[in-house]
Amino acid sequence: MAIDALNLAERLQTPVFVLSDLDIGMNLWITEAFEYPEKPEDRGKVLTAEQLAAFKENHNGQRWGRYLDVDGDGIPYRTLPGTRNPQAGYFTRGTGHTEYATYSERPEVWEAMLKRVEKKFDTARHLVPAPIVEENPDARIGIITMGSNHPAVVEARARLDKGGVGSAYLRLRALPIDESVREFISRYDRIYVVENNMDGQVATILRAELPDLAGKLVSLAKCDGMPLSARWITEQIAATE
Amino acid sequence: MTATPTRTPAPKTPKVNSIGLEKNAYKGGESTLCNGCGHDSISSRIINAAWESGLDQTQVVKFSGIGCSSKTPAYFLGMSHAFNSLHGRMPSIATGALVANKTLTGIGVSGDGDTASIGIGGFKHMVRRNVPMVYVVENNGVYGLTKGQFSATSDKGQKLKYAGVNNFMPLDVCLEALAANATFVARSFAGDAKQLEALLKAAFSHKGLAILDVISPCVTFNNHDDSTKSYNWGKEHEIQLHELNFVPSFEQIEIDEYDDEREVQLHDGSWLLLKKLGEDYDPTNKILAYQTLEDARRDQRLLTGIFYIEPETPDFNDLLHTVDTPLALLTQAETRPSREALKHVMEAL
Ligand SMILES: Cc1ncc(C[n+]2csc(CCOP(=O)(O)OP(=O)(O)O)c2C)c(N)n1
Ligand code: SF4
Ligand SMILES: [Mg+2]
Repeated sequence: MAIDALNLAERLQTPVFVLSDLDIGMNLWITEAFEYPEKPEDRGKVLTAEQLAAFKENHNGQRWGRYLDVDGDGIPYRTLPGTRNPQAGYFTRGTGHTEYATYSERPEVWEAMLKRVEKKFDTARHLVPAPIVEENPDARIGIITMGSNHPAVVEARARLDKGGVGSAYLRLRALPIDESVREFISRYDRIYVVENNMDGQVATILRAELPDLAGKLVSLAKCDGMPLSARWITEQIAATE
Repeated sequence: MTATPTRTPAPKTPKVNSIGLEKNAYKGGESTLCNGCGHDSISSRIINAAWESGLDQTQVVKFSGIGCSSKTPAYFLGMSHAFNSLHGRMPSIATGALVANKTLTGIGVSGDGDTASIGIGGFKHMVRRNVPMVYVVENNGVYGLTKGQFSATSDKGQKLKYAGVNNFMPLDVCLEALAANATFVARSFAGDAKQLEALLKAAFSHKGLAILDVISPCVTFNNHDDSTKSYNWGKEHEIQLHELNFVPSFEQIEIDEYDDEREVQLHDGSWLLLKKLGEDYDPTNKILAYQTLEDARRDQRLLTGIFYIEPETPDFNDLLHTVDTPLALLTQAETRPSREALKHVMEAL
């Protein structure tokens, strides 16, 4: 996962947060042995001194700009410090900058830059790990969760099944979400978003991302310092189903 | 009427440095600071020192935090990469970058707020790690960018238009650096061009972290004559510890034994010549450095020069045994451990 996170960070040129939780982080767990990583490293769009010199030629006469999106995915090319080409240097700053990394306070420049970042965010939806979905054509309800709640949800689904309440299941593995989440929510009458925090953060994010489906989402959030239990999840869902 | 013959002067060949560049090539974008701000003078000194030292800008990387001072890397060495980080977080960014590529020359610019207020923790750890870099604190005793609040180097009893009276003791950047085991500690004044340039050149040649605390008046919020960070106070109270000369390694010099001069050879073969002024000062004596800084603080003197230097102490990359190749240029075969290594780890668990 660390390799994937680093590859994504370099590909998307953005920090990637790997979320753990108290249950995973503070306890010893037995897992399958780690497999040797076969995926190659991905450094993303980095230009060498030579590639920079040939950039215009290879991009229909476009001059390289640090924040210029030349291939439509919202991700521009970058150079690394130490690149032996006098054009390679640029100034990284948080405030307004043009596609060529010069300072600007012009509103249209600022807005265009945010639009590009938005495009990059959409690109990210298809690069991050996709959710793992278990459809159930006979079910009326679906459950969405993430992380260390997984075993409790698996057990709760089995208990609910026994009581005659079948369910479909989507385990989120990353944000931002892709279309599969919309498709999953659309297919069922009610979706329980199970999470181990006080205020139902993932449910809030899903409602904001999919406002037209917000009415289908039921937040099941609990935070008492312990991992979620299958019993609690079962009781909450059984109370309404 | 006869026309006066005019003579077109022969075109002047522009002066170039040891790598064939004119001084203009070392400039950056246009400054947006207030007219007369000390920070702009320091940028000019950096441009001069870098040009005269023949620095290759593609191999330089600039860092800063947040503040008027931290904006200035946009105004010098325009061909270099630069990273304008978060307030007080320049040391973390710079440490990472200079470990990832130890062949680069690093220059960090920070303010007294950025270094001594919010960033004091990061500053001290960067000093104790001796990260190889030139670290300039543009010290005006005030938060300039946010319009005139007191910083951790503001004088006790100082009055500011909007902030009132400061009741707290100041931190002394040089004393803090010494206490954190700095290997190069100097102070200068933005209005003292000659000394500041010599110090900057020496700092570029230093092996580890070079701390330069430069008093740099803020003409908009802290330039009252009674402020120890004002132009007038600085001009009246500056006392140089020694007259300072820097001789780069590419210039041949004969070092003679003079009574009134002390020389220190830097790691890259260049020399610092310290000509004795009033006091007989030995910049390799740490106790003397503490004493001198503390005395100057009590006597309200702006003492400038090199307080302390250790030219040969290992730097951070020596201690970490980092490889010469920049980490980003290592191949996957060099960075990914073998199958056997993973198997070994798995079996050990
Ligand atoms: C985390 C954080 N806290 C506070 C600020 C607001 N802020 C911006 S600059 C600054 C002080 C700058 O003072 P100094 O470092 O002395 O720079 P100067 O402007 O005086 O050169 C402050 C408090 C910020 N940008 N980020
Ligand atoms: S406010 Fe002060 S520190 Fe900032 S640019 Fe103006 S004079 Fe310089
Ligand atoms: Mg300041």
